[in-house]
Amino acid sequence: MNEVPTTTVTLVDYGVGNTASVIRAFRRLGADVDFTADLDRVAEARRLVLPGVAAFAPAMNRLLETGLESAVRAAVKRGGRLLGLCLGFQLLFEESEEHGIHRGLGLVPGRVRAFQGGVRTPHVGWNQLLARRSDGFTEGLPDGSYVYFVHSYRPEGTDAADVAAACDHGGEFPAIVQRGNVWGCQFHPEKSSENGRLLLSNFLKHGAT
Amino acid sequence: MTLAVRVIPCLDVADGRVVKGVSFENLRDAGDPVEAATRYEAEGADEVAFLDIAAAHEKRGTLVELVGRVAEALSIPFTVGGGVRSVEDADALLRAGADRVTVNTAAVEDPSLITRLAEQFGAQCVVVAIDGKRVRDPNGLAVMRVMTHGGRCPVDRTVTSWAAAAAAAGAGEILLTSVDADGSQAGFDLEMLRAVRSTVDVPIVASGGAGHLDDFAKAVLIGGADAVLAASVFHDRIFTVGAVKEAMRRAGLPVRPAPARARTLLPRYDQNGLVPVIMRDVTTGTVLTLAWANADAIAKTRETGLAHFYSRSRQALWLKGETSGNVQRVAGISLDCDDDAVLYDVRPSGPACHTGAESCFTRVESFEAVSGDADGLDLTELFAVVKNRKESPVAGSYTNKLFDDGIARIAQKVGEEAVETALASVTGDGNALAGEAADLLYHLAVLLTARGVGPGDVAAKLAGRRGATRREKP
Repeated sequence: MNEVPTTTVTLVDYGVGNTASVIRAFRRLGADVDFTADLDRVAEARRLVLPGVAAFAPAMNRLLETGLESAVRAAVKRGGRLLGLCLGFQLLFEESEEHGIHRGLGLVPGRVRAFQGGVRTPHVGWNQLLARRSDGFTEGLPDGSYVYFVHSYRPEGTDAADVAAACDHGGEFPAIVQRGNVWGCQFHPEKSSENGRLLLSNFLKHGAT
Repeated sequence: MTLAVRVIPCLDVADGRVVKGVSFENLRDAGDPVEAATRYEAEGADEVAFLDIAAAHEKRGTLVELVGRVAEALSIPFTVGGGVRSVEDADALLRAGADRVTVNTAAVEDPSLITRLAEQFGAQCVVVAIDGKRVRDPNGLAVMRVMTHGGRCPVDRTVTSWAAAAAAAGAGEILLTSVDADGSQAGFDLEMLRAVRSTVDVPIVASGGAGHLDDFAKAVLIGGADAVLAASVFHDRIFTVGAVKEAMRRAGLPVRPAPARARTLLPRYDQNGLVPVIMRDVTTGTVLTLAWANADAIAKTRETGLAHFYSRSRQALWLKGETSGNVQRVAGISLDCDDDAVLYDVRPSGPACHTGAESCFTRVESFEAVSGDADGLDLTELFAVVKNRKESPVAGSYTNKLFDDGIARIAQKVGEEAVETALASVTGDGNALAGEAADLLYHLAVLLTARGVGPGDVAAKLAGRRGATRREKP
């Protein structure tokens, strides 16, 4: 990192899954990580990360019950850059069909659905990113780079202009979205070796809008 | 499909240390798990698996502490198993940083454990390990039965019925280990893999029996596995992860390239720290000499661009041409398929041999006169027939059926025939091998023709292909 002496990443603590590796990945890049459920700190964050490894509905309910949902919205409204990872990425969309139909944050148009028949599910392993447009997050990442996916659902019906990179698993789906200051990726950059490190350092570099 | 076939080194651990099991018996202590896992990541491992062998009976604290240290060091996913009996056990491992957990005996005893884990953490977090072994039934027929407790105790259940039940209960992946093949180094148990592949749709990891580089591609192409796992061949440094990936890539399988820092070739040195080096004239293709190098000699060669070796008689590093002035400028170095031989491609500034000859290999004993293989192989007619079928289809022609089925099907046939040729070379006689090779060449001719690639295009590539493919530019 060249510009700022220390970069702070605010990681939303809403009690879902393994966040240790996300914290470690940012710390290795020299960032300070504020892992917090504090509504004010989330609302004022300049770089906000929404992690998540769990089912959609309980995760969304936790965000609503804790008031973090409003805090995340407030941060986005103030121009803070939000990065959703895996389930945190799926929560960015309007709704999900995982075990019933559930509303998401609706920050990005699209709905989350299961992979359709004939394709190996869950989609587990290293797959290639197909570059669609470059806007900060994917800067310097060659087309066809491998990253690590673990998921059974993926968004569809997204706006093509929001898709920075796609992935092909029984048909293409959005793997990275960038809509204004809302970013997200379906895969796990913190588990994607050097390609993941590049993406996360791009997030640190770009920071708030 | 661009989803890469995963290569997963497995570390068997007990009391926080790496041990190696041969057929799950005779354990021996050998190293630090964190160091080993980090090395595997650097080599390009797609995932690392940890199996706690002692955990079924011992306390869990050591394992959780180890998982935390591994998570601190790795930036690729890792799976932990061994003695996971409850949601609480799994929760402790996942919280410590594991990406997925593997369940085995406890899930056989209580399949609802799989469902509870899948509901709590998501199916993708739950790997069900199945150990299978052939047992004779009362009619003398071999039946593949499930074994628990580290492959020791037979259960009254077939491997396929348990795999189906586990997938239905919410398993996100099946880790299939053949107890029959494990430790044999005779190859993965393709029959068992196929049986499970035809039963479940979830990803399957093949485990047990890897001994040759070709075994890994066979597990995928024939066995239908999505990932391959091995312990001892990696831990004993028989193969590097990179060599396995290269073998799979050559078999036409998608693999993730190793990280950039691992693309520097890493030879496998012998017990004296040496590797043989063949030196070849990059322009003429003439083999110049065979010598030995240690890691320092290879490093010096990279650093200076001049061929360096290690003299076994003088026990010292030496620069080729040090005294004669006939240095050999290195254009690139190559590594053979199992990493234990190096090739320097050089531009000589003078004779390579101390006798003053261009090459050290000047004394020739020729066998040409007694070779019975003078007839050669001309594929022109084969290509002509195939092309004719494409342009003027003939009813009932197998070739036309292939064209109608399309590229994907023909490509699949080429893959199958290639594997059968490879199999025949190790299991069949010369006649069988020639037969399989003929099938392979025929299907290849159909594939090339279907894609509009002519025999002349291939001939041109062959003519231009003198250098090795795994070349590193210094």
